[in-house]
Amino acid sequence: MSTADASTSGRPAARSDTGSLHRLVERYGSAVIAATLGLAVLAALADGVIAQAGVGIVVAVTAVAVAWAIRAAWRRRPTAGVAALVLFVPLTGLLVALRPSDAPAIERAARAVDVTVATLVVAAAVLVFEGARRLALSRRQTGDSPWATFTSPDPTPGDGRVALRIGAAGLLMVAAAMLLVALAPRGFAGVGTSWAGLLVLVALTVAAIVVAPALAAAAVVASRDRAERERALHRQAVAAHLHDSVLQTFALVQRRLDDPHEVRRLIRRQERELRDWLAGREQLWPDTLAGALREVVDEVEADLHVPIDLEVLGDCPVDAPVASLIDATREALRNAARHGDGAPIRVLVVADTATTEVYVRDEGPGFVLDRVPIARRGVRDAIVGRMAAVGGTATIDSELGSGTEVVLRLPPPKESTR
Amino acid sequence: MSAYRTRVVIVDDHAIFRAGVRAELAQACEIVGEAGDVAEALQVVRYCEPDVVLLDVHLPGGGAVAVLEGLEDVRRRPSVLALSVSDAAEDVVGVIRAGALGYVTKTIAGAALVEAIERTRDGDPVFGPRLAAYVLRAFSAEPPDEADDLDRLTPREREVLMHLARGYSYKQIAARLDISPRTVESHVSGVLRKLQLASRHEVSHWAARRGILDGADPVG
Repeated sequence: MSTADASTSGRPAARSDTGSLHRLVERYGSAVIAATLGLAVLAALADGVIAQAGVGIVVAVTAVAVAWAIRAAWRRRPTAGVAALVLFVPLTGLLVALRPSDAPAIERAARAVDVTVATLVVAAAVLVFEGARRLALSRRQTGDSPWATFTSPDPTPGDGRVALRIGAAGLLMVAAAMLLVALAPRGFAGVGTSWAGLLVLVALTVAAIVVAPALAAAAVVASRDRAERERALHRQAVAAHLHDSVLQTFALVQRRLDDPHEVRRLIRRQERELRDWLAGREQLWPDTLAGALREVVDEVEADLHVPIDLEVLGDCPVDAPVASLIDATREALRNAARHGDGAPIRVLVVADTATTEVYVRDEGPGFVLDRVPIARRGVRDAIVGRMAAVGGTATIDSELGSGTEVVLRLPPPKESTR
Repeated sequence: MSAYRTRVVIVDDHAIFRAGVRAELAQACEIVGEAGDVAEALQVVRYCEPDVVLLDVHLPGGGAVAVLEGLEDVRRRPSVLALSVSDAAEDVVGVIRAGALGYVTKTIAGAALVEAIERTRDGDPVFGPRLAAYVLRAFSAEPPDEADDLDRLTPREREVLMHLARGYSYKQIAARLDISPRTVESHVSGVLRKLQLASRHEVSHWAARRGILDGADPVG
């Protein structure tokens, strides 16, 4: 039933060596703490108390406190034991102060306060230790740091109780510190510091315990909110894009089911567009070679119903020679689509510092160059002529039965504009 | 078709797609098993001992790379042909590095898929035009003077890859370059090895430099 038992069984068997120390503390720690506390209290009481009147009550009260603490420790609930001591020992201190004695009243009062302060400090230390132990245990599974109890936006079950315990410990420590402050003028425990210095110390402690986790928690929450906002925006952008593209195409396809050419064209265009978008290339403007060729491919595919695969290695801006290259590519594509018997066309574009090339290849029937009809030769000349006009070359490579390839080449650019 | 029917396991998380491929391959291959995620794939492959695993790149449980890594200690390791709707560069580079012999997209025609499976069974790389273009893009971004040997394609390898990207078959490339088809294959295998041999660090560095990963985890 205790959290200690639950976490013991839930913990991985083979932890580091701190694990074994941990188990030791877990098993015997509470008993040791209770015994030490009991001895400390007895020692305090023995200081001139035993022989006095009223000693029966004092011993009885202390015995009850210690017994309760030991019993609590036995049942692995050291917190209850500490609570018992916190309740009873100040009472004992009070009794010490009130007992009939020859000593001056001021001395008796001081001794009572000493006992009380000592008890409070020890109790606070035990509570902090215990709280930290449980924090470490409860956080061990999640792999977070103990501070996550305060800073985590998603608290795990049991965090509340642990936090409460740590908070109580913090309050106890503050109380102890304030008592210390009250005693400072008479130099308790050799602390001769000034009131102001102690107050600053207390304030800093409180700030560290209370304010720092709160700030950290606020930061975590803020960053989570920001991430959520970004996610929402991103989702909106994706939704908007899919709506404008894929859903739009679906609608068009459903309306054009009677026209298989058109359906295929729509699907291929959408596929290309989606692939570009997925690859982060959605900003393809026709002012670059790649963007312009994409439009050319769409256009020829739409007009002539031939599937065209475009692969681009590198890119460059469109200047006059590149514009001619694009026009020549369009011609080559139309040519291949018209005479390739519907065979797929593959376009490879290579644009880097050394070269700008376009390969247009179809797996159509091919032809023998010498026997090309005049009309086709005209188209060919248009391609070759266009390229020659800007200092480039166009070669046509064809063979009966193994397709045709047109290779368009621009000379390397003179300046580094590309 | 040869008398021996290639034993194939299909790994894909879409049952409809598996059924489609199964129907397409039924004539030419013997489909000995199917799997829908990484764990299942490893189990099925161990049990069925196929010649070829047709492997989808995006799988629940770690993806194709996890399957390829899991296959490393299989007694009779099958050849792997990656098949995916994605042609993102990091997917291509990832599966090839992890040991797949080839990569084809799901739009591939049935006959071409059968041919690719048979090539894979024989241990020959399957380099489609698209994969060739990706590899070229990856290698070409490197300034030659900065690249070490692993980072560089030989002129011949580059030439072969360029022809593949232009859409030529191995046989056509052999004829055009006046070398034997076997030599073409050995050049492609050389490129494959270069992709696979580079260390993890080198490859992620390499990929980042070329803008392939673009913030994504290095695959492989």
